[in-house]
Amino acid sequence: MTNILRSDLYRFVKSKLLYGIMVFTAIIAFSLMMIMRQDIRLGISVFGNLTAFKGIEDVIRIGTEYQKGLGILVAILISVLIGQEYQWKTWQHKWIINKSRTSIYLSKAIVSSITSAVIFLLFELVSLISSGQISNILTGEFVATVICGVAIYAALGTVICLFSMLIKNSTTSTIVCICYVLFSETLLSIIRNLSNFSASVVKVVELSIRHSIYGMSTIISTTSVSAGMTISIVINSVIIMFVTTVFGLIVFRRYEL
Amino acid sequence: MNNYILTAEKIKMRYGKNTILNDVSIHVGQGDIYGLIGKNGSGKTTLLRILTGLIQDFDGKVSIAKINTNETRIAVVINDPSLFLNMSAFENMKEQAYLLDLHDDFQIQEALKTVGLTDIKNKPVKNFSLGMIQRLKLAMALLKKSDILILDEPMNGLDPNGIVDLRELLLHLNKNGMTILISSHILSELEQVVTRLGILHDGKMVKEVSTHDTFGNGTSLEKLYMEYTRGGRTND
Repeated sequence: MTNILRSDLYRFVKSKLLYGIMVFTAIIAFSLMMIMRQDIRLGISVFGNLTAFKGIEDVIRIGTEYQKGLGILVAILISVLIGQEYQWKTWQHKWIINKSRTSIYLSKAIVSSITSAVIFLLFELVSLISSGQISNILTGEFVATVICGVAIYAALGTVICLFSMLIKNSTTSTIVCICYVLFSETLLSIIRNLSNFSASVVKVVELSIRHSIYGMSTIISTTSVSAGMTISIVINSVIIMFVTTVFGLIVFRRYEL
Repeated sequence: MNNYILTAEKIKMRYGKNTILNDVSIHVGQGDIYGLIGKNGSGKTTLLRILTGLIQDFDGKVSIAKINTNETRIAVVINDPSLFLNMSAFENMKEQAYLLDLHDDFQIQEALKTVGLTDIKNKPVKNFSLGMIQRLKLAMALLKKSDILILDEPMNGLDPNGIVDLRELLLHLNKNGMTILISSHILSELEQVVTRLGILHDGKMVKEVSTHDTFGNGTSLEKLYMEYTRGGRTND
């Protein structure tokens, strides 16, 4: 397992796409922060509610809302890197060397989670450093928000890994992953509207949405994060990662590589 | 006593309604250079994929004998690209080395040197010719010492020099104890290296023979192949 993990990490680290996306993320974070420091009002809306930036804290919070842009970069990166294995049929080496499908999948899920969390951390770090107010921003609440963000992005990484591993075509998996990120808000709104026929169903749906990746990301970007909420979000994210990975493993084991 | 290191018995394989392999048996002896020949679509690649474990949904039995109670290691050169085209030759080798639990670059350098790719090891594989890709895949197969080397159409895309180099390399590896199973269309080349051969025709093994018993009395591989694939003769 460690060999395949090391091999996957090596390939991710050697990818120009990873560095391209990291540089782009850093530039976006830096630019947004500079715009806010010049007191220029700005808003972002990607198929959803408009997020208007009023202060530099809003730039830091926007990182936690994966559907506003950062999630798209994560989706492209992970789906392309995993899709290449199908495109060039490189699974075969791993299979011949007696690597089990369980370890092949687990390794991809771990690397995807790490990559996703690193992209988020980079955004937050560049925002923090370029804010010019590190001592003001670096509070317990900021740390709690970052911890929640890392957990949410790690869970997002496993979901994107699931799509990429189960869709055997690189281009299709990239499109599906981007659609998942962009339309999760729309999809959940449709589900919410469809569940209106019964009060108990509404309750279940609302609970599910609150505990989904999108729900958690919305909560931490709109409310002040407490210690209790942090624990709850981390546990919830771990459960999402576990369930997603187990489901992916069951399906992937049946695949002809 | 038969000293077979790799055997497959009564292999049956279907894709939908098409029978790809029908009761195919193959016996590769330790130290053999086994040539697997047959026209396109005869089932060579499918048989090799079954032997390497890439296809598991088949009927029949594949056995790999242990050598001195040690697990027999198989290295494979498959026909698919199976390389990261955006990475360099060295990076592809390094990625493979991690999978094989090799942490020293020495083996990588040695394998690249063996196939003559040292000078271009840092070039992206997407700029490689087909022949260079074949050499790189061979280098990856040679990264860790193996007992059996399986090659699927390794001469595809190689220029005359490349074919001669590959022939010499295979003979050298075989001399050092490696058993080799090779599928190819180039009968004249195979004839120069194989010690045993199997002729696959329409999903059936029509002849399995030792070349020592067959060649040398005016019978060429081409003649033998034509006899069993066009003449309607079957295995004894």
